[in-house]
Amino acid sequence: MTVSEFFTIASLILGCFFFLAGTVGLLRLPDTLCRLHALTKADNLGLGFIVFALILQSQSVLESLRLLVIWLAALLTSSTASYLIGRHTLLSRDRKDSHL
Amino acid sequence: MILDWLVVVLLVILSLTILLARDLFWVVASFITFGLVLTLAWSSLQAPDLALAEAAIGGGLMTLFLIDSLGFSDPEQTSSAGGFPITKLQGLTALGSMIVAVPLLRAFWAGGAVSPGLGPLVEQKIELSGVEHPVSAVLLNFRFFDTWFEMTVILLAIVALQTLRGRTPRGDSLPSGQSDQVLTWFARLLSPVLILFSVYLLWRGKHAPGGAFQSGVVLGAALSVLALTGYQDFLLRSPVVSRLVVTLGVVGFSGAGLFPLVLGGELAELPSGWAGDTILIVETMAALSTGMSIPYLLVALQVPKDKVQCEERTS
Amino acid sequence: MSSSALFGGTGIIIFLVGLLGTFSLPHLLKKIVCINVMGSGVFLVLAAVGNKDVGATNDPVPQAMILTGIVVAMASSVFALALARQIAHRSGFWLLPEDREKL
Repeated sequence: MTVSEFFTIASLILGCFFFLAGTVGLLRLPDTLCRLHALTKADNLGLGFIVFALILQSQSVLESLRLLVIWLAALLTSSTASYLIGRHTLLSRDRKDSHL
Repeated sequence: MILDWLVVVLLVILSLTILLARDLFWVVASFITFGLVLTLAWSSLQAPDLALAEAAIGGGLMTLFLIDSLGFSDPEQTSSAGGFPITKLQGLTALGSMIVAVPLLRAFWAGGAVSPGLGPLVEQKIELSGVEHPVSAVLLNFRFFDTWFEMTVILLAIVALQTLRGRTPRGDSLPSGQSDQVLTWFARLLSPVLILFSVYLLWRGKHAPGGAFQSGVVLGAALSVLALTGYQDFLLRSPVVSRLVVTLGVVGFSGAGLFPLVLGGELAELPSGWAGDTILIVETMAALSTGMSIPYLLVALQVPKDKVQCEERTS
Repeated sequence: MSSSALFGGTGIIIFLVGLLGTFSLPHLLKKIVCINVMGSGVFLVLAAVGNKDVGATNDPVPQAMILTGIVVAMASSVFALALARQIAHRSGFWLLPEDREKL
């Protein structure tokens, strides 16, 4: 097993672990805001590790750049989406004073 | 192979969740996930064009329409939307479906003589078609009719939706909700990239997976993002122009299809030698109109909040 | 089991699940989602039929037909959603009249 293969496998396992952690947080945490916090951070980091593993295995610089752009785009969209969900949760909590 | 099995198991589990879930939100969320896992299935089946289209439509556009409808439904109704009511008739139907499945599956797996399909025939004739990618050649030349009437179907859907909606006092508009700085910034960052990407997909359709539909739906996503974040000018300011753009697809295909009749050829016989250029022009018109149709469908889907009396419609 | 047989079989199962859902679930939005699930099942079967083993190129005609099908399914679903919304808007329930009587 070459060095790059070893790091690829290690990164993939780490990435999957972070995704798993994020999902556990989604299922077990009590509050919408807590869940958002866990999910966004863990999922972005997990995706980062997986993209890193793929970059190690890529054949050209262009491919690596593409993978990096994919990660950045996912980062951007998930951050915006979680911000919007958080804002909506906060506003409806202020409005309704429900158990959100 | 393991990935194929994983995808298949996930698909079946998700479809059962859609069937059995009580909460409406669960059903919609499962369906969206189903679409995204289906993208993986298309990749496994060596169908990159389908994966592109499914990712854009199943993951993006259907999500948009379904969650919009979800927001329209009553919150109380959403959670008590009635699960799978097991009456005797439905139990029998479920059993009947399972019994029907067995011979269907066996027929499918029977093997026997596998026909070579139309692949070799397409490969033979592909130089005549004007493009190099077989799926694009089939869509835009060999099966021109299908794509022609597909554009007509989209236009008909828009007409039908506008008819249902009736006459609204202020013209077409979307409730833009509370405009937020982050959302506005995000839309301004994302839409030019999406539009550029859609042009790239359009160009790429000639020699690689891509083409008019993938390009059109990505453009539709870009325009929907703009429309939902307050940049509705392109829909509101010139409704005539936006409606014209929506009809471009049908116009382009009809023109390319009917014009050869004038010159004495067959219906939809693209001029040989000019086939590639004709296809590019028609594809561009189709992509533009498909793209414009998406926010249009979204706008036409909105029901005005005030109670509409039936009598108003007949006046 | 070859890739094509696997996905084709799944397509049949998914189609039947969707069929069951369309006819038994009363909520209109769920019905529309199940119709889409049925459509996806049919697409899987089509693609599986067009998929050839490694070595031969894939048949592009079923893929083109499925592409057309995906877009048409989206357009029809939007129309169905608009009709369902109108029903919900006027009667207050996302249910067909005959299902509402049963409630």
